[in-house]
Amino acid sequence: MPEKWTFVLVSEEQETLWPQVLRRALSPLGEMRILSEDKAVQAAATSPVPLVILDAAVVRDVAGLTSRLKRERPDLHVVVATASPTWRRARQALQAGASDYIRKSLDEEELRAQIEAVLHLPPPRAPNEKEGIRDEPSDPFRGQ
Amino acid sequence: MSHRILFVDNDPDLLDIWAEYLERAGYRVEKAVSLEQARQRLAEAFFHLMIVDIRMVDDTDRHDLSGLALARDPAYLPVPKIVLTGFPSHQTAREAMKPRPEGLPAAVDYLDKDREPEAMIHAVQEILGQRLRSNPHLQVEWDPREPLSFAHLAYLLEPQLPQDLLGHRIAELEELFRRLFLDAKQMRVYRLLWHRERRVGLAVLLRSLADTVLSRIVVCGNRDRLACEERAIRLSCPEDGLRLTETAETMRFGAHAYAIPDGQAEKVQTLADLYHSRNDRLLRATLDQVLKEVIPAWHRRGQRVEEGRDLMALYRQQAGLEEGWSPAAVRERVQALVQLVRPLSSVLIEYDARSLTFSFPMEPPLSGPDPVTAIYHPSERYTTPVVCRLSPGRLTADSLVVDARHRAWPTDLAGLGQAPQWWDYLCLEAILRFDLVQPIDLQEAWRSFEECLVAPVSFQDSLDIVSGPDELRLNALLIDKVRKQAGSETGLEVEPYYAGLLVWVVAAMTHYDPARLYDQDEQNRAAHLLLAAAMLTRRLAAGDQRSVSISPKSALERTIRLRLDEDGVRVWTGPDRYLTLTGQQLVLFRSLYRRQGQVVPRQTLIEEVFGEPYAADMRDRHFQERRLNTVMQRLKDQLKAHTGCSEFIQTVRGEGYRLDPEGKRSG
Repeated sequence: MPEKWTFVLVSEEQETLWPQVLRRALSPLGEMRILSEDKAVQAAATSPVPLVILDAAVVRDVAGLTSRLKRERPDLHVVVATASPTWRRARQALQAGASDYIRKSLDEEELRAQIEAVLHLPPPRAPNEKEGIRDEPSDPFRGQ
Repeated sequence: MSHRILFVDNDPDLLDIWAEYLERAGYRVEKAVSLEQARQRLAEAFFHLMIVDIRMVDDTDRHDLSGLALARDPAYLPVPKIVLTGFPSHQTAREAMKPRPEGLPAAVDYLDKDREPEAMIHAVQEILGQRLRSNPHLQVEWDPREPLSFAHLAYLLEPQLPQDLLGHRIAELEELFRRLFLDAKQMRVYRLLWHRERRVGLAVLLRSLADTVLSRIVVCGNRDRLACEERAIRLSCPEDGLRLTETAETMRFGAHAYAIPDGQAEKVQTLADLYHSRNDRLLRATLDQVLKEVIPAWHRRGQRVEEGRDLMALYRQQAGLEEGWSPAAVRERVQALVQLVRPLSSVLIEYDARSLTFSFPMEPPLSGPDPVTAIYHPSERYTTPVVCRLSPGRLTADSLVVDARHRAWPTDLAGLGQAPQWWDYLCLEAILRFDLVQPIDLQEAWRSFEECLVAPVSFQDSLDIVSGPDELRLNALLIDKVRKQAGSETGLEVEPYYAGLLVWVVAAMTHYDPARLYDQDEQNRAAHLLLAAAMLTRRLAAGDQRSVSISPKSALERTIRLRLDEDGVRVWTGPDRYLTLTGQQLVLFRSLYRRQGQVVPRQTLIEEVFGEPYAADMRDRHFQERRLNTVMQRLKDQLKAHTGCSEFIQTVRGEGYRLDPEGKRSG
């Protein structure tokens, strides 16, 4: 893992309250760039961005953009953030391949913990697909 | 194929109505009204999909997430699930569907009970038809010459399987292969290669979607064990070994498919097939390849020095005697084996807690100390640090698969891990000594065969093949090759190798189940194992007596054994004593250590230490040799200053240098 990540938030260019809170929350982990939908897809395809956060208030088709990002980079984590969560939208986003569906909390610690938890996850997979090596397993040769 | 669905809801009315809809749509539905019922059915049966209500205990309690907990249970991870609820919320939707550290979400869909059952049917169709990674078009064929089928596999993997569950296991195994080969049209299983400890190795041919024919080795077994194995394989397998190409799992079973590197669409054979084909030239060439390429490729993955554990315990672990076996249980098996072979011949076998004795007519009796005591109470000389190397596990005649180019590949990697450095070699010897032998008379041939095999006192000694029995001459010759290679890697000391063979033999004895019927060949093999055990314990006891002439304490004081530590930089010179070497001295030490006991030419050392070719010009060559002398002298000085010994590196005039890791303290 690199020491500092670059995260992408798909939101309006003008930074409102929540993106500011999110930027502060993520600052110990890395820097955050705010990009439009197309630029976010481009960034995901061409740079080692580990995680893209979609602001559900701005992104019109959350499931569509999630699928597009995942097609471009299957190992990418997508997190959907919303101030008005519903189970239908949660289902839609997670079914499209999002790694989490979170509330737009103003609590920096809560936000950071949620994003950190996602960074430790393996990329989402199909129901019975076997995953590869997840956490670095112990080397049987070293016997630890 | 009709998919099986387990529907779990505490409301029996809803369960009946929705299940009826699903049944009308062509699914086979089993209903469970409680978590206990659900768990019981999951423990017995196989389901392609599970539908589970979130509130399984109390519908009025918003904290009741018991159904969700069932869906999240790692035991049921490979079963795709739909979570159903009368009280949908974004929190429970998130809990059900977001991926978890185990890699998969608890559920693949989340549905509201307020919707009509048609919505459920639609979701089920979508999951089973499109979203599940399974290949409904795979045609499975079994070779008519092999008594193989999914039913046969089910009993090999689960010998005590009740008959009423056979249909479930057949469906589950079929699904396992559909998940394994997603991109194949056709699969033909043409050979059961091996089966042991509820795992099987199969040889299969595949026709891909692009009509290419491919060859695969498939290993099936318990899901959790295969998952552990997979992690170890991905981390440790030599790069030029078998390639793990496909993996799949169902709730109970896991499967790995391997491709042979640069392999053709060919049928493979086992080392046992090759032996029985009596093509000695090919057999020797294959064994050479195993000794010079396969085992070294594994061993090159590094080495580790085990300081805290004795050699016998490490061998027992490797042979599967550390788990589930006690000395008393092992002794019981040996006693049962003596009973089993008693009616075989005129040889009288007696076994008690002290010794194992063979009385031959017209010949002096042969007796060795109790093999069980010998493997559980190691003699003091085995407590020195043991060099371990990465081993593919237990090499056997049926799991060593040979391809069309006569390259051999270990396919049973259940025991993959560190093992005493002699282990792989002695497993090969055991194949040639016990498994691939022609059935012959115990009295006449085996005694002389075994006597010839325990005679050497060092790996340098060749086997006296000429005085051994004719029927086993080829085996003795091949065993000699194995030992020569073992000696070139491990040094001259042969006794730790004999000790490992003894553990192998005792473990093989425990595989005889007194309740089973054995044919004459199997009984002969059992008698052979007993005889070998007696010979080996006698041989090891003789070694003990030799070493007790010096008391163990004074021996420890006088001798020091060098080991290169796993980091390849530090030299172990005694408990908690390490000498750290650097630069050219380190390269020189490694060069000699790798070939301990052998004379290493000066040319090799110059090339390895200075990284330059041996000079053609005599003046340059003289200069190189002077530089080597300087490094050599510094290394000797360092070893002497650290250990007080001066005899580790010997100069062999006109040839080169030899490292003997066991030095004697001068003065």
